[in-house]
Amino acid sequence: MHPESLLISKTEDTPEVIFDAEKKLISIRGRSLPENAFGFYNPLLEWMRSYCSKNTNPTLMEVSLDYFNSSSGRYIFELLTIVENCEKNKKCFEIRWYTDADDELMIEKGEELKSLVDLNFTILRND
Amino acid sequence: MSSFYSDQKESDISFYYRGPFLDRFTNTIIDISAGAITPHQIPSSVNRKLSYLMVECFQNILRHGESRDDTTSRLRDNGIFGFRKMSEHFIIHSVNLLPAAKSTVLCEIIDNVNSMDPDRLKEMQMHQLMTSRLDEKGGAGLGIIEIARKSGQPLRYIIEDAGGGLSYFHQQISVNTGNQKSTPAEMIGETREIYQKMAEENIFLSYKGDFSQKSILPILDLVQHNISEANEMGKNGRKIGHVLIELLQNISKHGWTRPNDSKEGIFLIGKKEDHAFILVANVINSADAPFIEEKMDYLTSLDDEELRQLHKSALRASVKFENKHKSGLGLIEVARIASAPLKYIFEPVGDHLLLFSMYVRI
Repeated sequence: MHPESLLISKTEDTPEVIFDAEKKLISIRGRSLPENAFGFYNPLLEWMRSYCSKNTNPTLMEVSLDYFNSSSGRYIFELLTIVENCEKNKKCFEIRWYTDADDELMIEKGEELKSLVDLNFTILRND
Repeated sequence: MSSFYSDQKESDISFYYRGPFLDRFTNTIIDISAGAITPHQIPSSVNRKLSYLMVECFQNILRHGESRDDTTSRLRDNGIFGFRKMSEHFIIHSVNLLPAAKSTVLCEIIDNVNSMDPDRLKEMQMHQLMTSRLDEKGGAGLGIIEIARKSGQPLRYIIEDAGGGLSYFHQQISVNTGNQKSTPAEMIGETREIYQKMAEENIFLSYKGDFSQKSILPILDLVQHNISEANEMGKNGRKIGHVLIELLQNISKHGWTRPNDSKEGIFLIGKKEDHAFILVANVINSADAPFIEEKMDYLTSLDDEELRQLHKSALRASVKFENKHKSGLGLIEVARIASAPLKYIFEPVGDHLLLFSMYVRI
């Protein structure tokens, strides 16, 4: 694995994180309801800032969360904002937001985040 | 707001679950009790005893409980399981539906066990182990002897006729968590009242105790499994889960901290005709009340579209100002999911302390 990659295994209240600089793949998967959302997300934010400052290649960001609490939501939004604010990367990134087809809440949250950022953002419903 | 809830005042910890009993809930219940007990510094030997008794009691219901498909019945479930701690008394309660004939046999066994001293019980247990055949239900008599030995207190019960050849079997197991040898107050009548109130108000889960993450997570799992599957709440199940997480974490972050360093609160979940409700309460410093009141009144004055806009701007502001703690994002999300404006009330509970209760309809 590339030294600049960030890997975090999932726990009962935090998602699995694969930020792979070599494959240009960023993935967050599972559920996110940590007590200390800043503690969990700050390394992700730092990684994203550093990645965006260097990267010029197409990058896929996949978010597949069954559930996230409101404080996790703000950091997911912040991750997207970092990309949006980086002129070089704004057009490189493709965001895929995966939800269960009947999970209205997560679909709605995806749609809201999509409306808040100017990025290539697709919501995909798993049947 | 709910008389059930005001009845929980004298308990340090209380947990009541009403509804279908599934095998996989056993571990969850152990996790919940372990989380709830943590701030109370109960010796680990007592702790292990409690876990054992809870598993035994819960699995007895699984093994021997009857279910019936009688939707007109006042009680459409298999019973309740719960535990309470009041100072140094820990009590495990259960109510389950049994064939009347089986209840009678069970009572005879319990009466017999209650009449024995510890040595005789031990002897009896050995004898049973040697002679009893293992039937598929696993030998109820032996389980009761084991429970009696671990509890060290008489087992209490009440049988209530449920009609149709069935009866409700109410059971109470007591354990002293301190050094006192005193017998706990006679609580079995109260169990029946709790059961009736839960049924009348259609409450399926209530909890009073520690609200740290460790305690909250197993409760959320129980709620998500119970509500989404067992109670056929469908899509509403996810909304209930979401509201619950936000409310419980809100207490764990901003609630008043007790001298033993724990954050405490109460919540209950129930159903009314076409909707679910969550009632959550925690102690706050009186000085914080005006701030909370202002926030709540503002949230309840907004319509759906205004709440959507507020949520958007709160999300943006949280990034800009790095305001990590008091953005109120969680409460805005709760207000957006609720199907009616949030209701709240403050009640005095001590010097400069208030109990802040919130009622959310979903």
